Amino acid sequence: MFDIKLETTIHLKDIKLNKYDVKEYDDELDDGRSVIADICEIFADTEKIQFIVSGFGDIRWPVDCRFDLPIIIEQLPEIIIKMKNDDFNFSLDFYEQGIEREVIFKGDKNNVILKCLSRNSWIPEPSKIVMEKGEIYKIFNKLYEDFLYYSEILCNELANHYLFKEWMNI
Amino acid sequence: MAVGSGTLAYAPPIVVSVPAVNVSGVAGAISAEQMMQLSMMQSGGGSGYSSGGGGGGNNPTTNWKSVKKYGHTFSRHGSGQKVTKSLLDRARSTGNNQGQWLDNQGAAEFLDSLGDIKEPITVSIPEGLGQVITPTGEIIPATKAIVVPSATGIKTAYPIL
Repeated sequence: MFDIKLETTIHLKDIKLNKYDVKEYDDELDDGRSVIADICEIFADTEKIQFIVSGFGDIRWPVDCRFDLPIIIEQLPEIIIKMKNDDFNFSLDFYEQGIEREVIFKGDKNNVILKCLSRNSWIPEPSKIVMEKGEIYKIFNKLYEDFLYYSEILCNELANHYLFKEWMNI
Repeated sequence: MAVGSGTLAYAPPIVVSVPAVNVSGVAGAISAEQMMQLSMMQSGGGSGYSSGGGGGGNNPTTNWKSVKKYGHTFSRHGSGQKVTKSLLDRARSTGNNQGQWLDNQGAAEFLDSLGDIKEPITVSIPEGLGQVITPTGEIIPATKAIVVPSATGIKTAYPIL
């Protein structure tokens, strides 16, 4: 079973935020990834939000909100659009230093074959699993919805920035 | 449910050798505090590898601040005290080394010089361009870097030993 989710250690609305400045984004240099990274930085600073990934023999991947969450969130819209079109052939790349794992998804009738590749010394065991399409869709959609919800509660201004909305549009 | 197990064969990163350029001559391991100071100095004004600061540099088409081009390379592995601290925390919490560029503009120009990359590669880097922070807080000059390309540029790139 592969799972990927966001959790809070206290109720979301009880999380106290440090004051943050919304920086000026530059259309020439920035895109939605810039805003996503800043939102994830805010999540990380709260120390109350956990990014949790498990599977392939590792019940708790060493991932965090600051480094790994943004790179996964930025891949979500394209993946969800594909799944909505019943295309379950895509990959999810955990490319940050120290993790360096890629999960390849391949649709097969009602199921999806997940194959995990490691670019460092960690070895997935097993390296292949099968899950139902419905399960996979639910996991990704929940992560997407939760990220948007958390963003609206914790940093509404960033959640409504046009670069973010444009990137997250599905 | 599992349908297979064992190690999956995966092509190791390609190693590309690039001529080294002596930049700042950092040698041997130094303390985190010393490197934080060095990192602060270098983030402010360039190192000789480029004109540094604000995205100017030797190459007017290179701007390290471009997230579109360099992805998370400099927001997560760039120079500066704040990044050094977050990499120290990351190294401690994950138990993995973390790489940091010491001159963002110089690193961006170096990455540009690699040309079109199709898959993750390991390259030799000029001396003084990067450092590695270990889980114990030791800071060591980097000799190589991993570059992870995207369809439109670079997803991330970070120095390694």
